[in-house]
Amino acid sequence: MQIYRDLLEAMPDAIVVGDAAGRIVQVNSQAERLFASSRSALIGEPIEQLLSEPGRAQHAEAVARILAHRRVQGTHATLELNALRRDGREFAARINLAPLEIEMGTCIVCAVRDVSERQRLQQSLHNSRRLKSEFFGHMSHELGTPLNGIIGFAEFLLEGKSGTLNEQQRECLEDILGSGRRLLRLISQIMELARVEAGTLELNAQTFSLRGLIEEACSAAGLTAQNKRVAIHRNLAPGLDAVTLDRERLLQVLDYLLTNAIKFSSEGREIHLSVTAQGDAALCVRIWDSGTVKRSAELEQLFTSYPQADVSAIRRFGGTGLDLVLARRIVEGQNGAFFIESEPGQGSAFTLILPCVITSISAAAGLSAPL
Amino acid sequence: MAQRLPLRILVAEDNAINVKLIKLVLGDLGYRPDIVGNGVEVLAALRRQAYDLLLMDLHMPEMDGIEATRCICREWNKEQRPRIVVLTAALMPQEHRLCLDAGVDELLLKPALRAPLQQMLERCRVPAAAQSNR
Repeated sequence: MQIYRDLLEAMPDAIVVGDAAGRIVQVNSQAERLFASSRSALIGEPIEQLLSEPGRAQHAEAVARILAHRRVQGTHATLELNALRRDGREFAARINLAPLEIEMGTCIVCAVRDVSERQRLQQSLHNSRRLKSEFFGHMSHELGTPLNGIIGFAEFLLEGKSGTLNEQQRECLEDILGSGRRLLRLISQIMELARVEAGTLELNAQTFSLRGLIEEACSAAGLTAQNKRVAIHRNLAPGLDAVTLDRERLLQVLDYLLTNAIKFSSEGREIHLSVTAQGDAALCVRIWDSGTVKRSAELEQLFTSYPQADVSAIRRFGGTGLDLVLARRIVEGQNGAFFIESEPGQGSAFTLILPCVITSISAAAGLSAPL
Repeated sequence: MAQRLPLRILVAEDNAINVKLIKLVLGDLGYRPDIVGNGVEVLAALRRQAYDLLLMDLHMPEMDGIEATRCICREWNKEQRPRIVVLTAALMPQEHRLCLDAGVDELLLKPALRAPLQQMLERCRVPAAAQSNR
């Protein structure tokens, strides 16, 4: 019996043991402290007096279920409800219930933990995430408004609406427009990140042809690729064609990954894009490049709060790493998985697995051709 | 374009530079829009005369675009009110939904470039009076 007592005292949680009739038969000193009471006052009391009214029915139901299944190995229940101290104060508790067979019959062991601090932290974390998203949203709007003027006026002048332009004027205006568009893309990515983090990513599943999607993604990245003499080789698994998932989101992810791959490839290299089925309910997309080697520490950095740590890389490629952060978040937002591999001297590979409905596997051969 | 598609346009925008730009681009297409600076002024203008198109910023002082849209939809039915197009620099999470629920017909992202603006104008209904005159 002493061992039994010592065991209870050694537990980090408050332990309350109740009999089949719901009366308290034993407590440890952690329970005395948590419920602001003493062992002698607690023993013999109905155990439900330690719970605030709304949780009592739920507790009774869990106890009944455990008693019914007490012979089944591993029977237990976990409840999150408000507990009641003897001084009348309530606190959020996590309660683990398990049956215990002793000489006096079947008892219920309740391990009680105060989780109000954890709940408060979760709430405050949630609030600060929301505030951050709102801040990003407002900032993007503030940045976008003057950009509207910059891009709009540059385009207007470039159309020759206010007279013919000489070569130098045209070149300068094109630079203004180009810079403006780059900034705009960055701002819309920050907005997108705010949306993803706020959990308001809207998904629209539709059935479409993978072949068409791959062509569209490659032609969008095609111009940048041509300028750097980077070839995009694409490969669609034979027979795989129609799938059902959010087409625009997948296109966006492919665009981010291809843009990133082109950005980090040196001139004349190759990029590969392959799409295969992963089982019968998921799609596996793999993009690998033979570009600049990324150290693993740098890759780790890509996914932390401020993505691209290497200042020299920013200077060389003008990137922020937002492409990859967004691609990963969008994939994970659809319950998919996203992996990065990097081999020194070989380049990097990005793999994403997206759950989807594979609508048809046609008999037609897959496509495999360089851009 | 204005000859083929005569539209009475009201622009609600509080940023002076953006007003200048939209006047320039629409002017080039042959339109002379009326300009107001917030939602309250939009309602006053609509009570004064009928418009075919309201091109409105979301974030404006006094009354923002979403609130203005709600007021317009309460006061005029779909036949009487102008087509409502929101032109904004960035959409906050959930703003897209809010706009459509309020009764906005179309959302356009700034910068307001010539091509998307032209496409948007093509979607506008030519007023019946102007149609029968031709």
